[in-house]
Amino acid sequence: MADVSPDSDSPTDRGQLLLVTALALAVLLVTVALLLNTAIFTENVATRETTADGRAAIELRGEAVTAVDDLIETENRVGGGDPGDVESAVDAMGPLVDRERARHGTIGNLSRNGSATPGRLLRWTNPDTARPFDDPGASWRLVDSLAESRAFTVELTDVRSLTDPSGTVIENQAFGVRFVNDTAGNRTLYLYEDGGRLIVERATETTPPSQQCAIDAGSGTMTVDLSGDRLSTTETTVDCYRGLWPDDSPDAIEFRNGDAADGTFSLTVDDGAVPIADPDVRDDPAVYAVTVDISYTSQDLAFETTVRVAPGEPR
Amino acid sequence: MRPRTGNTDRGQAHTVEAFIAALLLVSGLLFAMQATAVTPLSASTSNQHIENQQRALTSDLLSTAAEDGSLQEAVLYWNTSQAGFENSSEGGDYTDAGSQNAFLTRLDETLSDRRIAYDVEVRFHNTTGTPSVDSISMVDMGRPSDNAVTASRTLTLGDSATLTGSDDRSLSTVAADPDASFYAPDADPASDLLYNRLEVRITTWRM
Repeated sequence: MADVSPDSDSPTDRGQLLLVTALALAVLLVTVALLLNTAIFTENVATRETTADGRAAIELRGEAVTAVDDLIETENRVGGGDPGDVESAVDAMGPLVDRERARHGTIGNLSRNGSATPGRLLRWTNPDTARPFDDPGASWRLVDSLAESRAFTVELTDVRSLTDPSGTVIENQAFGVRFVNDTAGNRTLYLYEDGGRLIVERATETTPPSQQCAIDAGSGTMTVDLSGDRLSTTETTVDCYRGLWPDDSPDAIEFRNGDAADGTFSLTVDDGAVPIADPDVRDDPAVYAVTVDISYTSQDLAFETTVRVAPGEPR
Repeated sequence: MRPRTGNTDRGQAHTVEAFIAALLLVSGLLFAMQATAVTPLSASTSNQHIENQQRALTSDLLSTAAEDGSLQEAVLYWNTSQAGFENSSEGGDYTDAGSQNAFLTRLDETLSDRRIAYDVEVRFHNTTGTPSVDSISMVDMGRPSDNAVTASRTLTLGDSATLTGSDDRSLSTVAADPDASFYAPDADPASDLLYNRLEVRITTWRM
């Protein structure tokens, strides 16, 4: 071993010193690396999600609901509204979900909980052709004995203009949709155009109309999504934050001052509801809802939920 | 004669010490380099950050694309006569970032601009015979690096879904036409509602 003592024979005998310096430098670098690594790892762990696999489970639920939602809408639109079709499609989807999840090392399950609920789909006889809402009369009841209703949209191609109207003028001249409730009282939404904007005002039996929502009318069709509390045009969408659909489930739905607007409508109601018997209104069988059980199991998480899928059902 | 204890008899010891010192220094340096991302492709703890960010980015991108319908538009952007995605290369898939449809444009703008390469694969069910899951490549930018991350999203196609390319027929019509083909078969031929469930899987890595 090299001698590093001061009285060494030669001043160049510094082997041990070099070795110790190298060792010290190496230890220093390793320490810095470890500290850096610890800091990075701590930050990494601190910013991770705390729930194990929660995102995957929620994603499965959301995706399954969307899929069943689409099946119902497609069946109602083009399939004849047969609940059996939706039931068999949901049943067929179950094994596919199983297989998909298995590839990710988790267990996923989608199964039908009971039969699909039948309903009725109400539209104009020519569903896509806009026409005035004044037949069979200026004000008329679309559906009665209503227990459940969903996906109520009105698409307006033309609506009466009123300039800075008073409450009485609105009630007598603006196009209205009335939600009749035998116990909680009626609630009416009035729609009119004022200065290039579609205005929605709400009135009850005891309170005069007050503005709930408004949207720039634009040049095309204006869609009033009553059950979704939204107004939209081809250019924009406005959320009305629970301002349109009544808090209490309606017993009947009426159109008021129907000569003040042209357009189309679509409403899905439960099977026991009694729609108007009129040649201009089409009453088709439809699927109202399907209830599905969704489960997701991974090493760290067991998630089970039952979801009633009824697209466009009010909150 | 007694050997001299001068400068000349320690050559071997010095050499060995120098080797050991060099070994220690290099080991320390290697360890330090391993802990930090010296290059984008080098494996390290800090790469976990980048991986997390990429996974979140890709996952969010898939969610928004599924929400606004552009994901479905992309998987249906198929040329039935050429058996490949519309305007794709000879292999039937895209080999570069492009803007052939809204989804691919979004991938290009979000990932390519950040110097992130990506592969997009579509998995689908084949229930003919023994049920299996097959896949097809939509975008193939090459072989992912060791630090690649994946994100996926599943979507359900109905029989009435229509192709978004030059052929705009419905999937059930295409399935009934012997001269046309779509990559995913009807997973539920007994029903007129459900066609198949597709899993779009994106693999991303830093270039």
